[in-house]
Amino acid sequence: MSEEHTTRAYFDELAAHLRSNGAPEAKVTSVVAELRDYVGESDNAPQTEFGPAAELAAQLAGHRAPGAADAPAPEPGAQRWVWTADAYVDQEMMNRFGAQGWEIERVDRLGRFISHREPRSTLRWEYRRDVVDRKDRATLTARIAPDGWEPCGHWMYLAYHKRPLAASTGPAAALDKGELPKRPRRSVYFTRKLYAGLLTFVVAAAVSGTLTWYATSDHGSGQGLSDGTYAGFACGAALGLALATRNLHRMREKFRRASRYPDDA
Amino acid sequence: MATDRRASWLKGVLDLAVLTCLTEGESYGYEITKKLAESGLGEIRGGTLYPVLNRLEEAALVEAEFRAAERGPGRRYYRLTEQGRAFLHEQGTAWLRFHQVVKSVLTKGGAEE
Repeated sequence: MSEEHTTRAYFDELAAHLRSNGAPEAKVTSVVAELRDYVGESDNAPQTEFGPAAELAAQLAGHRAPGAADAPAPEPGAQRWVWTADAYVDQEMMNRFGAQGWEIERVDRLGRFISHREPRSTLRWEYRRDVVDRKDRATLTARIAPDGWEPCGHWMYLAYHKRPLAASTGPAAALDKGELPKRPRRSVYFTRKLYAGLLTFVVAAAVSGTLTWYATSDHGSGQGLSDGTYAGFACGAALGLALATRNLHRMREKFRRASRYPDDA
Repeated sequence: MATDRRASWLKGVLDLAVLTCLTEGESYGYEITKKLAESGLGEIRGGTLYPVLNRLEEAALVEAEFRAAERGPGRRYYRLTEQGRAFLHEQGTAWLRFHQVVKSVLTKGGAEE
């Protein structure tokens, strides 16, 4: 059987399994196209890269991303640490603390990194962050799993993956237990950029709230607001919403461009 | 409890299972975890696999080489050494003997396969 024929048969089988698992046709098409492109760029057959098609389809359909084995409970005596960082510095911080042996188990609803460090382990960890829609998250995980990446959480459109540094450097990456840094005192790493954004939001909300209150109160002769005023409110709200949406989109693109992968180093 | 027990069993034999994955030729981390999963040992995470590979490499039972790919990132490939092959034969045989003893004991206690 030719390589091309084998590849086609694999993706036909994958598509059939995805459909039988209830995936919409658009999703089937996009997943198959992306994984086929990836295989086209690699030297391996799809079976070698992703394992059996049925298994991959089950993972993509559901609910458990490839490589996302149920995290075993940390060993007794493991250090636990819950910390957080904003998206401007999260990659830098994750890799800094990963180099000190901190393994992120998951990201909670508040965006905090639930981490631990095994007492006997000498593993260093490296992390990558991708900007990806929820529907594409499992596809991304399947695509990068052959390079040793395992998912360790997500928050909004940010997807996080981890792998032991030993995957690329072997025993040379082992931690020296004698020089193991203590658990950092700080657990919150927010930058000035984040605080500036929050301050802008608070000031804007305060100003608009005050003006609205003044316009509708007796002091501001707001008895009987004119239709024009209401129209002004509506236009202002629509404009504000449009600007906020544009800025969020720009921020997302900025975070996407700022993604740094250890493999690129 | 049952999961903990199974994890302990695995811990005692995982290095031999990993060496067995390399008997047919070199391989890399993800491929080894897939072979282990397909053989019924369950999903082995990187945090479990790489310490074992590191120990095997330090004991010269495997050799490793990082190879850059033409496209995409490189991978660290592991290869069984002659010493590793001999170790696998010796320790694998010892494990099977131990398994037979345990089987004999548990069968008397009413355990079934």
